[in-house]
Amino acid sequence: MKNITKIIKILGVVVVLLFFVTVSFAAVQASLASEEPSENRDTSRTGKYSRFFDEKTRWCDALVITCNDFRFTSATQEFVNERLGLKGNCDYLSIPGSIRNLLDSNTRDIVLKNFGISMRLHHVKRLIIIGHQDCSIGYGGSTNFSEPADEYTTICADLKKARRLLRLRFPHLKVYLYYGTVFFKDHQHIYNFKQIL
Amino acid sequence: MGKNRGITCFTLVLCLIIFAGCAMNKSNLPDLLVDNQQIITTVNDATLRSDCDTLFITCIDYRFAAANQDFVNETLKLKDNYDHISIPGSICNLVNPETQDLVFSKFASSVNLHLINRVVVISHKDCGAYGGSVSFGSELCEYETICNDLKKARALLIEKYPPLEVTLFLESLQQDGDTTKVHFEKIP
Repeated sequence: MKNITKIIKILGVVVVLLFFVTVSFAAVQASLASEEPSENRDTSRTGKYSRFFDEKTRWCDALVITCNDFRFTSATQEFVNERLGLKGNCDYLSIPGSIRNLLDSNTRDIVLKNFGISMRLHHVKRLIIIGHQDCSIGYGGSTNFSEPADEYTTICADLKKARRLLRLRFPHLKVYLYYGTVFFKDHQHIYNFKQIL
Repeated sequence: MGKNRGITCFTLVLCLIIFAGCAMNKSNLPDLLVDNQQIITTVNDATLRSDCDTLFITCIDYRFAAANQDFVNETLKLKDNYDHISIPGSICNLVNPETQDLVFSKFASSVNLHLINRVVVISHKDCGAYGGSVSFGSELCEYETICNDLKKARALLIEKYPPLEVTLFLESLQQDGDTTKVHFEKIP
């Protein structure tokens, strides 16, 4: 009788564990269901690029994903080139709305395919995602939010969501998030890039 | 006793999951610890713009990224006056009928929002989106294909937005002694 109780308890633990594993696996599958390329496409791609790999000896370090907004282009370039020290060593992906495209189910496929090209062809190891204040294309601008803190929280939440998605899909990558702000004072534009942990 | 064993099993499995998760992170690069970076630019009131009039379309390739930025800032003198869209293959996805609508919708958001009247498109040789130089067979074939795609993209853009002025460039890497230079060629 004592043994049976033991076995039942152990079985209970195993069932609970299996339940958790199944649920988490299902969640991952569901979130990535639309992103998995078919096997046929994959083999044709490997064939297409096989000779491309033979010729290259040097790869790049990072993929930078940023928004195309003209107010931030120069500052972002300086930040990436000088402050992060990635000049000539990073793929520079600049799309309207930055990471918003990854969270939108309509554009997710093409964005992940773009990331995939960078991963496969240039072997990047780091991802740097830069969101910014007053993003008109992604979020309808600052006027869409009641206060700056609200905007900051929303964009940070989106950045973190994107990081989770990318970590599931490319677990070997290091993902860094930055949030850019700008204000105008005494004939100067002061940009600040804050790291989101 | 049974309760203890259950807890032990649970802890063991949890440890296994955690260690497996940590082992998945194979990257051994040092962490980037750069936070709160301030960049200050002085603004000339005479040239201060509230809007930009150029859309700059390039490929994401790391070998050309820095050269593209110098080219548009210094040579074309468009600093702070352009929206920079950078996607793999530059206009490769625009010419491809499958992804054309989506790419156009992204361009449209920029064109409509910022009153763009000029587009600068830069493609480059040995582009990964086309499968690299080797997939063309010959240099001439690669040149012709990319030029044709560029011209097709220009026709598509002008068809959709007639007042746009579209300038095309093709860039290639040229070995000069030990240094590699990026050469820009204007496509008529």
